[in-house]
Amino acid sequence: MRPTADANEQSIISKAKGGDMNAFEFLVRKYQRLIYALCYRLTGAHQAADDLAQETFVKAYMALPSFIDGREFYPWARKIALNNSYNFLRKRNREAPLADEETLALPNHLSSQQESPLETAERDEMERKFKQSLQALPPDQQAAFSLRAIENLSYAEIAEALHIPTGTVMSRLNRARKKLRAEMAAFLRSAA
Amino acid sequence: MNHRRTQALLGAFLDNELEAGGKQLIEEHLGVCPACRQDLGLLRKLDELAGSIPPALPEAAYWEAFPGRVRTALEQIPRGGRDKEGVMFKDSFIVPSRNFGLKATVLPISVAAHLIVALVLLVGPLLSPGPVPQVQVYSAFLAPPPPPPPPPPPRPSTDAPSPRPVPRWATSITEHPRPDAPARATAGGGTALALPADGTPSSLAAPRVAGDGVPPAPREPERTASGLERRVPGAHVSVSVAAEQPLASPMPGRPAPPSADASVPPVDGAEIQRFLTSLVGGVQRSLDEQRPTTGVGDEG
Repeated sequence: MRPTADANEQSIISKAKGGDMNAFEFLVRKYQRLIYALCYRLTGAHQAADDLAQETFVKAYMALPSFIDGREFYPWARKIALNNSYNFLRKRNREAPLADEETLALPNHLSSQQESPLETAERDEMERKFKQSLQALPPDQQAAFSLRAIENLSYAEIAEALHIPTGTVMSRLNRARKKLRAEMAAFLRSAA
Repeated sequence: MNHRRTQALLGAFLDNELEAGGKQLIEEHLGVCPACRQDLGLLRKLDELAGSIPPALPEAAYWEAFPGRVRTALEQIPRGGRDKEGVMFKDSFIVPSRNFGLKATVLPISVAAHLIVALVLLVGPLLSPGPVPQVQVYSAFLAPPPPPPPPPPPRPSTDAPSPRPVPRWATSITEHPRPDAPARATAGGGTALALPADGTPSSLAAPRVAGDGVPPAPREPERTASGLERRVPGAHVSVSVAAEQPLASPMPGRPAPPSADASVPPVDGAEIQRFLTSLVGGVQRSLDEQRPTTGVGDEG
């Protein structure tokens, strides 16, 4: 799922570093969904994800002169998105800690043909409960869990992205999983 | 591995972040602990649930318009802002202050000036030749205390008269106690005023003596081998004047003496009188200062 850097992308990045807006627009089109999805998972709100994704690409373009040639663009842009989302979460938790109810109530999955209406309702309820529990986590634990369970990053990658030691990643993940397991225990047991 | 430790490492075990030894210990504990197996299953379900929930992405029209919005936002940024990375990452970069250039210029100059002053004031005296100052450090544990400083020299007694200047016409000024004077009456001794034979000591003002507070009556001078001599009770200064020295002017109230040898410089009688008056006054003051300390009575 994750795009890989190739020689063509390296040349595009070099053109973007030189100020070519069309080259940079190519990079935006390639990674906009990933960046948006990451921001949305971390914030739980479309409006916030839209603002953060746009801000991420703007900052990425401004910081392109410091981009090291030969590296992948997405991990670098993801780090910028993580910093933006992290700052946003800290600020939002101080001001308005709850996400909008519409976002939480909105089912995201595509109903399969084999699911009965009861199963679909149970799954929607479980997703809503999971989103609610995830949004209730502290920003640091929420970011660590999202990067591990959703982005499939290793502990070392999470530590590098969040600028924390690997042991701190493990402790944050443990605390986040403990809270989510306590909140979702009934659904998880019934699903099992 | 105990149950509590296993519970703490279940997440890392699920994420495959443990080393081979830790993983084996967890697996051994999971084989005998059904509660840990159940928790591991719940954690696995939780991760699957988190990964199975796709983010509700917007419609395709949103993604078509998104790059254009980014381009518009970039065009609204003023030219030159791309190079200011410090502004973009306020949390990660140190933004230099406005007058950083001035500080960068003043700092090395200030350091150099301080070094020069230190060299001049501290190192310069050390390099110049000279006696090396010796610092003696005394310790109550390592060495005995230093000897006390020598006592200060005794102050000269108030009885000892200060040397007085000798006039050019006087041969000597001696101060001596009078052995036959009663100690109770006077603290000092008699004074012999030796004047030339043609002088008139009786014309001098008689000194006041502190013995009984009553100034003694003037006596007639006694002729000695060197001239006239007069003793004043309580005084202890004698002045000898060469007999050959004539008086340039007569003593006040007395006729002028006959002229003597012209080779001898004449002596002014008024000068002798002023000197003796000041001398006797000094003696009087000395006696006055002795009275309270010597216990001399007034009844004399």
